[in-house]
Amino acid sequence: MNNKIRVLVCNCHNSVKIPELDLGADVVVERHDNLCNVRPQISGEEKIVIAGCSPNLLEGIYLDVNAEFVNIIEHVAMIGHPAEKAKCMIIAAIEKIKETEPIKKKIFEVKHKKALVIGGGIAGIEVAFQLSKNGVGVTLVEKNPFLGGTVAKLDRLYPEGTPYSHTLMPLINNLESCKDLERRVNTTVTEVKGRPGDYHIVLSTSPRGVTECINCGKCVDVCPVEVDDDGKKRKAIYYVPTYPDCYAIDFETCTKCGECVKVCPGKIDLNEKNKESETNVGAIVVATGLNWYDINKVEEYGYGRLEGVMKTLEFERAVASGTLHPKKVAIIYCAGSRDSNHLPYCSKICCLLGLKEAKLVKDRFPEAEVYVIAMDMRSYGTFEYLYNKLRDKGVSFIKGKPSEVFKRNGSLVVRTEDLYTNELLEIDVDSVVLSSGFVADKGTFDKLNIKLNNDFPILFENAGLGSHELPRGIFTAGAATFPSGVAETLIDARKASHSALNLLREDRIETRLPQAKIDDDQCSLCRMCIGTCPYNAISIVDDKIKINEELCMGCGICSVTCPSYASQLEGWNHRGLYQQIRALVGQGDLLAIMCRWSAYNATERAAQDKLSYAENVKIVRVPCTGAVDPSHVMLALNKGARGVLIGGCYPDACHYARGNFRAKARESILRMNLESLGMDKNRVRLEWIGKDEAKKFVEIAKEMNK
Amino acid sequence: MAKPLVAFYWCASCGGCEESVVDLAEDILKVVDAVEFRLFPVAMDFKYSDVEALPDKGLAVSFINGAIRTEEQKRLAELLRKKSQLVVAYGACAHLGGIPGLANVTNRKEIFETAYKNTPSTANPKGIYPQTATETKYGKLTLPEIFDTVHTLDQTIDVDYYLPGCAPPPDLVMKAILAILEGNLPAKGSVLTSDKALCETCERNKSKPDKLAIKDIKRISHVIADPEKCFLAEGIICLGPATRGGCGERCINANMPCRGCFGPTREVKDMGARFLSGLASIIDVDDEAEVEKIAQSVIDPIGLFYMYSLPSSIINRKQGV
Repeated sequence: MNNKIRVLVCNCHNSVKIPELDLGADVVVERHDNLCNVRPQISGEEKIVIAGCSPNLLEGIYLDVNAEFVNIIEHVAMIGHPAEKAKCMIIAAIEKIKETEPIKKKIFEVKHKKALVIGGGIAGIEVAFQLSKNGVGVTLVEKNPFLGGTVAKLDRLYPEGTPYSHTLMPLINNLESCKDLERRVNTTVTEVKGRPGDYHIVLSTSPRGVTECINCGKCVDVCPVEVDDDGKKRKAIYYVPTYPDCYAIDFETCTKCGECVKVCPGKIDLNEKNKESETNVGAIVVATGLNWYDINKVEEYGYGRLEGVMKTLEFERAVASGTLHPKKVAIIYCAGSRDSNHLPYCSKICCLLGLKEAKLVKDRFPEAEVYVIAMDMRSYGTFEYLYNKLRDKGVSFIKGKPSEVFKRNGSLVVRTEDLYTNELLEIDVDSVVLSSGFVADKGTFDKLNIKLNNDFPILFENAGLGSHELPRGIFTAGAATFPSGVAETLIDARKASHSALNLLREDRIETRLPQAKIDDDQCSLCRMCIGTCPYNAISIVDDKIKINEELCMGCGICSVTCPSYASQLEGWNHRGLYQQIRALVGQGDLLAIMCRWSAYNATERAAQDKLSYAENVKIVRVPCTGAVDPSHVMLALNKGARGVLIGGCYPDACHYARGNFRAKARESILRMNLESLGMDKNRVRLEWIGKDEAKKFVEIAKEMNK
Repeated sequence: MAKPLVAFYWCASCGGCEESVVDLAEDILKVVDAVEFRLFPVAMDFKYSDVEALPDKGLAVSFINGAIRTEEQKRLAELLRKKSQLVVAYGACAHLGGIPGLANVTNRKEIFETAYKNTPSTANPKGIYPQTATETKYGKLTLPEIFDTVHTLDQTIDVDYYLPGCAPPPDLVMKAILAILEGNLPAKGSVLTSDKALCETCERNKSKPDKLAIKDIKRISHVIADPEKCFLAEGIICLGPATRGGCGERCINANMPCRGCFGPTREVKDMGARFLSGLASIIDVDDEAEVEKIAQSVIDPIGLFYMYSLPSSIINRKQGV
């Protein structure tokens, strides 16, 4: 095998003059005119240094090559730096690639052309339909006895107030024509193992209690147990007109008195057991829908304590079923939302739910007084029309956050400020509706090993893989992603099905993402790496640390965490970077270690914006600030660097979720160390530099050079 | 057959390494039977001239403990290198610089001022400091020159093997001696203990949760540590994950966290930097200011992360003094 390193120098159509390079006997230097257009013959085994323009551009063209990129255009030629600097950068890249494990192509077989859809609401139903229509086998599981989810519980949909069934029933009926579709109600997912393309699923089906039902309803007549189901009364044996066409027993409330068995002998079994079953799928779509925030926690509004205080859903169902005839209603917005004691975020759709309830009351009882009390009305987009319509209909909008709901002389009183009139109000009403927010279905995401970021699943935007990617075989649809209304949910469901189809229609997935590798001879099983992985890709299998190749996104955070360097990231191992920095940095230089997703782009942008900076600024590209090794920073300082700038994404914008926080903590302790060693701690700086913030980069470099 | 000749020399050290030879207990008799000492200042009366008189490589092996901080230590280390077939850096100070290496956070001048002038129990109105040469009526008296920077043994001479620890535990010492006698040695440059970090054999590692996540950093002197639980999981700094094992977890068994005397594992150049990187990574807070606050709560980072390894680290002394 040829062990020589090939250096391909791009002259960029003769616009760059790089002098003769004599780099020793193991290095072959070739000149090219435009490496971005004409690709020389390269075998996959060779070690290549490509000295040309932006790696962000060239990387895509040389994806299958074991290459190290040196940007001699933006980082040298375009800003008028001397060719000597380019030579130094090329030498450093050679030093790096000598010691670097190449990034290997990984191939994963998509073994099962089937999908598991978790959740039988509109999102899950639509995903199941879309997938099935495209020839993918689907197992659709719903934990409740009937399909339909939240929508089946509603009376009507905003903004027009269309009955829920107009939307839901066609969707459910769509499923009738589907081939290779299994609808499993009363079923939950108990275990998920495997990887994209090959998941092993264990399902648990709880008893329904009823078979071969003819919907005569005699069982309901005799059932003595009355249940309040979100504001609507029903029995312990009940029916929801969606799917399946069969009554079901709510075993949580059933007393097993046996009355129903007497009227329907042989078809009702009160002692049925849970059944476990297993299936294999290639993709999973999470469509677990809306999850209401526990409104009991917002104690000041008296839910559960004061009669007449209801959730939006309860109110809607009570009014719609005719059991409630409100005359004076207060709808309290943001009950437990945008509140540091409860949910800090906005759930987006509760404002619209509240408007819908106001409209419901006004439609049915025009004479009723309705007060909507909101800090802000967020009727985004065209929902503003609904808001305006309700104003016209006489709904009173008060700007404020109620402090308390209490009982006085038998009626409910809402105490609130009104920021429009600057008054303190006490409003007497008969019904209080709490429009509360929603939380992510943490239980399901935990089971799937998916971390939440800002309370909801991380939406991973990997090149070409779409924004619905969680770890590449698990997708979210509808309100499981984030609370959404019916229309948005359906759009989202179609997008998610498309993402799943992209995976399932392939026989194999190929990636060249760099991969963290564990050297078992070095690993002491100290477990420090496990929790630092943003993708839960690290686990212990048979007393060894194992990295799930399909989940690893190649950030390098674990590699820099490992106190023994037992974990190493392909393409970026510590020896290679050490050698690169050793060769690159000289006395008085300023080393800039830049995240490839943000700050590195800013350094290139500087050249494009004709912003120059001092020649002593030497730039190294890393996958994430979370992959910056404090030892390498110290090495640069020891080599005489006047400073080291680590540039990365803004706090909440890290491509790998939390890499920049890891960097922050490391930098913080490192700076203390340096200070103890008599150095100015400001010689090391971690800065957030967005990809277009060339000016910020140049200014920081200037400051650090002072 | 003549017995192999051995030197056991001390440089900047506390004498604990000599103690570790005594700790061999009855095994020491086997050693004494098998070898013949030519230099062992703490126990036997040999002169430097005895060593100088030996032919080059006349000693089978020299065990040198202690860091190098005086001209005399450097000279002897060089002499022993010349006269020995093998040189073993014995103990943490020779291996990594050790506790004497912490003097690198200051310099000779400051140390002299503290030791010979500023300590409350010192009266030195004339400000007299130790001199390398002093004329007296009895002739010239000399003292070895003290260096500004403490060095490890391998920064001074070529070292063949390292016996780690403060001090090296008897079982490793005996194993190393047997390996040398039998000529059954690993590759040059090896550290004669486990290649993996301490966690591998630590009993408490079993109690460690899979995901380490700490929200504050505690000092061992401020808490009563649960003797069953992993220190790190409790937020108490323990250098176990960054330190070679093989020590027998003597500190851990005494309910004290590891301080790193066995030095880093094979791939690691700078133990302190590596450990701080790991420690910082398990701080589980999603707020920039909070992360910084927790990180800043580490007291005396050099003393903690480099207790035994400052001279061997990438930036191995205080700068600008």
